[in-house]
Parts: sequence; C-alpha cells; structure tokens
Amino acid sequence: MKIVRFHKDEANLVEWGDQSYFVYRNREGACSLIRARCPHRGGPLFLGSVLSEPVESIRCPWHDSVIPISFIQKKAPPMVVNGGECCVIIGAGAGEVNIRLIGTLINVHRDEVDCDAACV
Amino acid sequence: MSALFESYASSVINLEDAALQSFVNRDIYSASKDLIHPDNPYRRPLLNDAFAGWGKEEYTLDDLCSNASLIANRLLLSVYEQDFVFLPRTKFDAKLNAFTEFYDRNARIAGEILSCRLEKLLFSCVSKTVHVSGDWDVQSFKAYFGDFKQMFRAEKLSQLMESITAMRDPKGGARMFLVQMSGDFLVESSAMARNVVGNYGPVQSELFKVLIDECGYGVHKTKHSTLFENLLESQGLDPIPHTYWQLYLPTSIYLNNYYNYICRDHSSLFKYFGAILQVETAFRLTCDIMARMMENVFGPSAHIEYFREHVHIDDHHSRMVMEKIVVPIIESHGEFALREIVRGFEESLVVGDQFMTGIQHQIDWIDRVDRDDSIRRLPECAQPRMRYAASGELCGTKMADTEIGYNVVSGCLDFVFGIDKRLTLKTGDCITIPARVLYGVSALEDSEYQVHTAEEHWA
Repeated sequence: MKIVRFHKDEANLVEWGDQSYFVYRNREGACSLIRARCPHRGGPLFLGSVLSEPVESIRCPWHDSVIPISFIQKKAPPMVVNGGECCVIIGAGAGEVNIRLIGTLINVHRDEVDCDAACV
Repeated sequence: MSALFESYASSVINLEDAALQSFVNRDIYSASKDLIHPDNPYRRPLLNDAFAGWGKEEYTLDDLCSNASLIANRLLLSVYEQDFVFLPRTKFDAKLNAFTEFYDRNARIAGEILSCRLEKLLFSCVSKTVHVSGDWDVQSFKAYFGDFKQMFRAEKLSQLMESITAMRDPKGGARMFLVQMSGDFLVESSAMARNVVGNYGPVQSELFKVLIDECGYGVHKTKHSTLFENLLESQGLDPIPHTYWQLYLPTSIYLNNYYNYICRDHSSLFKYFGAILQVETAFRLTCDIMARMMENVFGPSAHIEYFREHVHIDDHHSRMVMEKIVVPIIESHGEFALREIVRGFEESLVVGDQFMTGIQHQIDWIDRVDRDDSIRRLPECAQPRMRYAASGELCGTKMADTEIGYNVVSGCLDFVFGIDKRLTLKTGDCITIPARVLYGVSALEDSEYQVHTAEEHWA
C-alpha cells in the first residue's frame, strides 16, 4: 500500500493507473475524495455543479447525470484530513501515484440550488 | 413548534447560567490571594475575570489560548474530577469543608449541566479539524499506522526541549514544563479507568492490562503517578495534585480535559482506542526526548524513572493496543469503529499540538522577561484605564487576550509568569505582556497603575 500526504492548498487531484479522485469539501467544510470521472460516460465531475436537494449530489457537465455524493464516495480510497494536511492510503498494485493541483479547472460550479458547497 | 423550541432553548440557557453561578460560588472555587495551594486538591480558583467567552457557541483552535478558554477548562476539569478520589495528605480536619464542597451533590448536578455546554464550547473545533472519509479496512489502517510510526519525529516537542535548555534559567523553564504535565500525570490513567468497567468482551481485558501497568500492579512505589511524584520532589516541587492550579495554561488543562471527555462519554470509546494508540506509540519517543532534556537541565538530581519506564513499557503498550484492541475491534465492529479510531488518532495529535504550542509560547515569554528583552515599553493606547490595588491583592492568574501594558503610577506590583518567575515593578516602571501569555499580578503595597490594551479579544 502507498501513503500519499499533501496539503489541500498544494494538491487537489490524486491519480494512479486509470483512477482519478479530487478533494471535495462539503457545506460543513468536511473534505473527502470523490471520483473525478462520471460513472456514466466518464465526464469530468470536478467541473460539475453541486446540488443539495434531495440529497447532496454532483451534476455532471456532459450529460447532466446527477450522482449522489454518497455513491461516488463509496469506493474512494481512505483519507484523513487534519487541518489542511491530507493523508490518502492507496491500495496495493497502484503503480505510480501522481498528485496535482488543478487551479481554476477544478471548480465545482456554485450556480445551483445551494451555493455553499464547493470543491477545494 | 419554533416558538416552543425557542422557549425550550431559552430555558436551557437559563439553566446553564444558573448552574454556572451555583458551581463557581463555592469557597473552593473563589479567587485566592495565594498563588499556590499545597496539599489541597479541591482548592481551585476558577474565575479571574468576567467569563467573556461563555456566550459563544464554540471556540476556534485559536481561542484555546484565551482567558475564556482558561476559565472554561478550569471549570470542566473540576467537573470531570468530581469522579476521582482526592485526599489531602495532612490536616484533613482543616480541609473537611473543601472536601465536602468538592463532592457536594448539588455541585455534581450543576457540573453535569455545565459539562454539556463546556464540551461543545471546547471540543467542536477539534472535531471540525479532522475529516475521515473513504473506504477504510484493516489493511489500510495498518498501512496508515505504519506510516505514522515511521514518520513521527516529535518536532514540536524537540523544539520546545531545545528552547528550555537554551533559556537563561533552564531549571525554571523545566520546572514550569513539569507543572504543565502534573495536572495529567499525577492522576495518570484515572480518565482511562472509566473504560475498563462494564462488559464488552476480550478487548476490555486487554485494556485492563494496560491500566494495571499504569497503576504499577498495585505496588504503590511503581505506580506511574508515584514515579512522577518522585520527579517533582527531586526538583523541589510539591507532588500533590493541583498545588500549582493557578499556573496551568489553558492548553495544558485542555489536553487533560480531552481524555476525560472521550473516556467519560462512552459513545467515544472507539475514538479513545485511536487516541490511546497514538499516544502510546508516540510516547516512546517523546518520553526519551523529555528525559534527555531533564538530564541536561537538572543533572543527576532528576528522578527521571517516570520517562524511562514509559520508553520501555509504551513500546509494549503500542503493540498491545494495536494488535489486541484496535485490530480485533475493527474486525468485530466494522466501519463505524474504524473511522472513529482514525478520528481519535488524529484528534489526539491536534490536542497534543495545542499543548506544545501553549507551553512554547509561555517559555519564550519567560525567557524574554529573564533577558529583559524589549518588555519595558507600553503599547499605543488612547485611554489607559487607571486601576487601584490594595497591598496583598492578587488578581488571580489569567491569560492576556491581547497585548497588555502595565504602567505603575505609584506603589509596587509583582508579576508572576511561571514557577518562581516573578518581576517586580516600582513607581515609574512599565511592562508589556504579549497576547496568549499566562500572568498574575499582586500589589506588594497600595498601588495605582494604568492598563494599556488594544481592542478587546471577545468584543
């Protein structure tokens, strides 16, 4: 297993193999990893918009699929965030792991029902 | 519904206010002219000023070094320790009233009401600092724990020990450091003992093994708190709990309160398992670092068996907690337990970090006073307030929320910043105390003085 540590201001995207996750912050400020690609056709969820009703979800910008956060969090790698320090545990056989900071690209749009939620 | 809720909420606030008044209005908690109270573990001055932060919903991590935090932490520890048995060693007759007041039934009721409010006030910020997410399992936890063991360097503690060693008066600094730990170490394992009662299977017995190590297997001279008493006595300090109550920093009491908080509330049991795993794992290294500092500063006179014992036994405790408690409980109790364990592990780091930050700040200040390093000036203040103090009056120790200047117009004021760390100002003298420093002022003769402050922290 691999342990990847980074500060949330320095990176927000974790990638290995064909896997890609971004750091998402909910309206309470809690951070978690979310699949960056939509389970429908692989659209960029990190460019989606956040819906708070009926359950907290992301709308994919490609086909408007609405994916509950709880669903796309489910198989995310374990992560603990302490202050701004993120620690991610990535399973065996992951190969090389890249962490990146994507600036303006990785903004979940705040133009939906609830404007408080946003990705980091 | 809303009106009913508002009415209920208002009643709760009134009840909490009444509980606060009822609790603090006891003689044992009143202001004291004495800085220390030897052999009287019940005597705990609580309020040193108006409780400015009482009305807040919750404190931030930054607020933990404030005077409101000092008051809140003093209060909460007094509530928690009503569960523990304390006896003075001598002259019990003279302290019977204090004993009765401390364990009084009404004080316990008031304490229960207060603890809910105080816990929210103090611990919400720690909870909000840590976020646990994703698909955890035993293997990922083992990888995370292994990484911690490999990476942990105790940098902040090492920095603090270096600062103490480099002080103009390193012995005074080291004694102040011992005082900060004494609130916890003299009642060591009392908080955790709450978790060995009940019935929850083999893990309970494994935790009990850790507890009996802490208690020295019933042999008093090997009890860990006895070892710490020996260290205090070897350095001329009183070994009775809370003699130095007024010298505790809020962040030091906070560390103690945190473990009481998670051990008293049994819904935090799994969180506690994570916290104890972190502490037992880190303690091997941190005790070694602390022992070296004590040896350097005190020389052979320091009875450092307490730390040496922990260097040895906590290697075992870390393994025991991981293999016999944490892994079995994850396997039997699943995801919720695991996430809570990770949370407790990380929260324990946050609280330890706060402890270190608080004492580092105080130590730096004490050294500046000793070196007379640019402290004799006054901050800009449009309207300094004139104050008067009669000879012998001690305001009680408090935290400076903002930079605060004292200008002695006439008389003589005595400032205290640590164990035996005093500074006397006479007519015409002044001093500026930085924010987040603990200090006490007493008048050695009838005095008038001006207080210069910037804007109020809690305004």
